Amino acid sequence: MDAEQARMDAEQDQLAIKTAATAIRQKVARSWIRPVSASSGLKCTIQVRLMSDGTVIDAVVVTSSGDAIFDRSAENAVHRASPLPVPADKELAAKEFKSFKFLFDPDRSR
Amino acid sequence: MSFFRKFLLICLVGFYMPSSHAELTIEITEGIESALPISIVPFAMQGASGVPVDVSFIVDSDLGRSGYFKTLDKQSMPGRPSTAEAVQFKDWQAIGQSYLVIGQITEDHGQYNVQFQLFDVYKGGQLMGYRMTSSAANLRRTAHQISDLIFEKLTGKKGVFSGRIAYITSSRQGKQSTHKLQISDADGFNAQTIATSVEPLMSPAWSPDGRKIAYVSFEKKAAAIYVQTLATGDRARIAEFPGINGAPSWSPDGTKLALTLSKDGSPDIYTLNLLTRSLTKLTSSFAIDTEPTWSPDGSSIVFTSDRGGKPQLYIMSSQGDDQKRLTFSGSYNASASFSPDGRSIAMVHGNGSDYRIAVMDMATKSVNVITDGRSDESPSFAPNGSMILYASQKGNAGYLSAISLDGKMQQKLVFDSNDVREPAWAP
Repeated sequence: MDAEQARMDAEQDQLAIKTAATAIRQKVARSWIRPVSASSGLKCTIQVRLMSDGTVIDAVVVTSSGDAIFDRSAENAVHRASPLPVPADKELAAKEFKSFKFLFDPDRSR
Repeated sequence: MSFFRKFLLICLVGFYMPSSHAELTIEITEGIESALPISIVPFAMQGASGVPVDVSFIVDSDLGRSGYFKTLDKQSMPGRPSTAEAVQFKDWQAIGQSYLVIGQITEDHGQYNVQFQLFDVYKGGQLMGYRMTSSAANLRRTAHQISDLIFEKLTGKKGVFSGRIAYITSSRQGKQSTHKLQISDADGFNAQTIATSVEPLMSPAWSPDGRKIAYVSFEKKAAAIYVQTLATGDRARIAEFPGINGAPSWSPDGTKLALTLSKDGSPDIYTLNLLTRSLTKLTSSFAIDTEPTWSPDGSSIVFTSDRGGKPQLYIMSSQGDDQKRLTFSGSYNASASFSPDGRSIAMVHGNGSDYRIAVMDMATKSVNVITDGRSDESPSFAPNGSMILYASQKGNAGYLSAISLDGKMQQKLVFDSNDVREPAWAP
């Protein structure tokens, strides 16, 4: 393959990944019902596995906030957002979005 | 293209694709504030004679009324499972439900075994399961306890559904008026009469341990304050001074009452030590000082005074020192009720001809009006701080409503009487 072609393909892939990551972030944020009782400073990390069409296989807390209600709200948000808007290119979706993490950190927005 | 340039490009591409080496992390910093979707499937009934109380319906209305949950109507349910094996989680996921409650009630010689399970719909796992035994008379209470258990599990806050409220009802037959002090469940059911009089009864106030109620009675044609023990019905007259004896409020340790007396002329705030019966005068303005309420830590008292011309809220230490004005927006602010955490107060906020319930943040002093009535009064916080009970007047009728703190969820309570006032949520 020509290097120029490779560069363009790579750039296109990067754009598709970035676009998908933004769309996924937005869909999960819209699905996240933040617990009313949550104190500030809570954050948790969720490991997700997806099918190539974006359907959530599982969403598991890997770093707990220490608050079961907060953790569950984050897991639920990922499930409610399923299927996630992964890139239409199945190969790329499988490569980049088969397994990744969400960091739920509401304090970052303040 | 030179070799050098090719090399550079390959390097750049390599740097552009860190994700092929490291796993992606997407940060979620925003969410929505919304009620949690929950389905309360009608409980299955087993046994001969049916069940006198619709337990699952009560749980459904309790959770819905709180503002924290959006319950699913029965018609929209994809099934009516009553056992864990019968639940098809995919069906409930498909309609956007996060939580599912199922249950069964079995009658056994007049006793009822109530069993329920709460599921996380996406995980397909049970979050909670209980079996409770109840008499027919206690089924309502059992239903409210189930609501409390679910509420606390899913919100982290204590439920208030099995709590009680006190209030005053009035009715008239010909020239004869009847006034009653009653207590009921938090949804208005199971009303019991505590005191009855042909003369007005007013201002019920729960003791901090929930065992006694102080109130004002005009039964001797003049105002007097009584303290009644609920379990025994015993009562003591604790203030009967010339003029006004009004607005009792318990100190958080239960040893004192703050009250309004006008024995020296204008109405002032006093505290009465319930053991020694010694009286301490806290305010002595020429204006009307009334409606004292203690902060939950006992350090200060908020009250209503028109010393500035119009009724406004003031705050002072519980010894009467450092009196200062608290409210500045609106022409009328009165009837303060502290939230249990002491961080906010509910009040009646008047602007023009409308009187509505507002909540003030004690730290920022910002005031948020949460009701939209014309004549709302007597706000009282739920013991978990999540809801406010208040009264509304319409002509000669009065009714009670519960509203969530953000004002989004509001429900009118149903009583036998059509004139219900002065609600007080039991601690």
